[in-house]
Amino acid sequence: MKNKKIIYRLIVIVIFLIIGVGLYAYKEYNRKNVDLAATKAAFTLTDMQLIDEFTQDQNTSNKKYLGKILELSGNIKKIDTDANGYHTVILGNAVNMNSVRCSVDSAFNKEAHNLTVGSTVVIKGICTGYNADDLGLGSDVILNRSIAINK
Amino acid sequence: MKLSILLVAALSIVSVSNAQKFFTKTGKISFDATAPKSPENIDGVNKNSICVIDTKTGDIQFSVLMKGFEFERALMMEHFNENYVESDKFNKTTFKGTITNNESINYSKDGVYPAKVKGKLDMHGQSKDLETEGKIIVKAGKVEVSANFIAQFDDFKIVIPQLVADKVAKFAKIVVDCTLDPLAK
Repeated sequence: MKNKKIIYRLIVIVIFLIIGVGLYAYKEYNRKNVDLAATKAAFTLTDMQLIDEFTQDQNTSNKKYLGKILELSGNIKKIDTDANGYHTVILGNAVNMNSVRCSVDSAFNKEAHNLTVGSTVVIKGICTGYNADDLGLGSDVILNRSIAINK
Repeated sequence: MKLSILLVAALSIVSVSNAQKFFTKTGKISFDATAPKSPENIDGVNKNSICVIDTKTGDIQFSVLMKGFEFERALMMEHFNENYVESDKFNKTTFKGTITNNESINYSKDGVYPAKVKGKLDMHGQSKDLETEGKIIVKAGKVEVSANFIAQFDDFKIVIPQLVADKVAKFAKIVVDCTLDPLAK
């Protein structure tokens, strides 16, 4: 009698475990990329601060910023639009060759239409790396899946 | 005075129509490593690739930040970065090569030109010779580069665990699609 009860309980526990693991695996598998609009940035700084840090010490900055969500305030130097209509907002000082290139999240492409060159903007994006100046065209810090946020 | 204006004008015309270098910072490079029987697609795209062509020498260069690949599933992106390409250690993939039939491409005349490229692909700390064919499309003063080739993971010491071997292939089909602007000096 007592044995039966223990076995019964064990079975229930095992079933719950299987369901739990299954649900977790299912959720993990279907997990979407983080929603940048709803996630707090790991670092908040200006475009020029970020550029300076990368140009001074690429390795340390890579460790610090790569894969992190950054919230940058800066001046829009230029907006590039590619053949598919996707925008890249280029932040930086017009006099300085170096810049931060923010490739705009496709879901926010429409909003990017309203941005104007020369205005100040706050952009949130994931830092994916730094391209040193190989071309004589300035070096760039790259942000991916960027969105402009209204403040 | 007149002569100098003429000179400047002449020089500027030359530099517009005969730009020697073309470049882009928004090149698209995507890969597909879906195994034949996989129920889902294993693919990613990078829209911030750098590409430079020197039309005189035929030199062609690519530089791709590995963390810049975008995936549909967050888990796929994490596996790609952490387990396969180890983008913390090897954050950049580069290709340096030459267009071997460069003399048959007229960069100042619109058209579709077949191109043969030979060079070295550096990825995941490994360097491997690569030879492939693609197309160079000259259109309205811009140069489009389109190519695809296969990278074997073995060559780059990228290990795919047995557990996911039914989903992830042993190689990646890589598609290059870049539109280059003239480099104004």
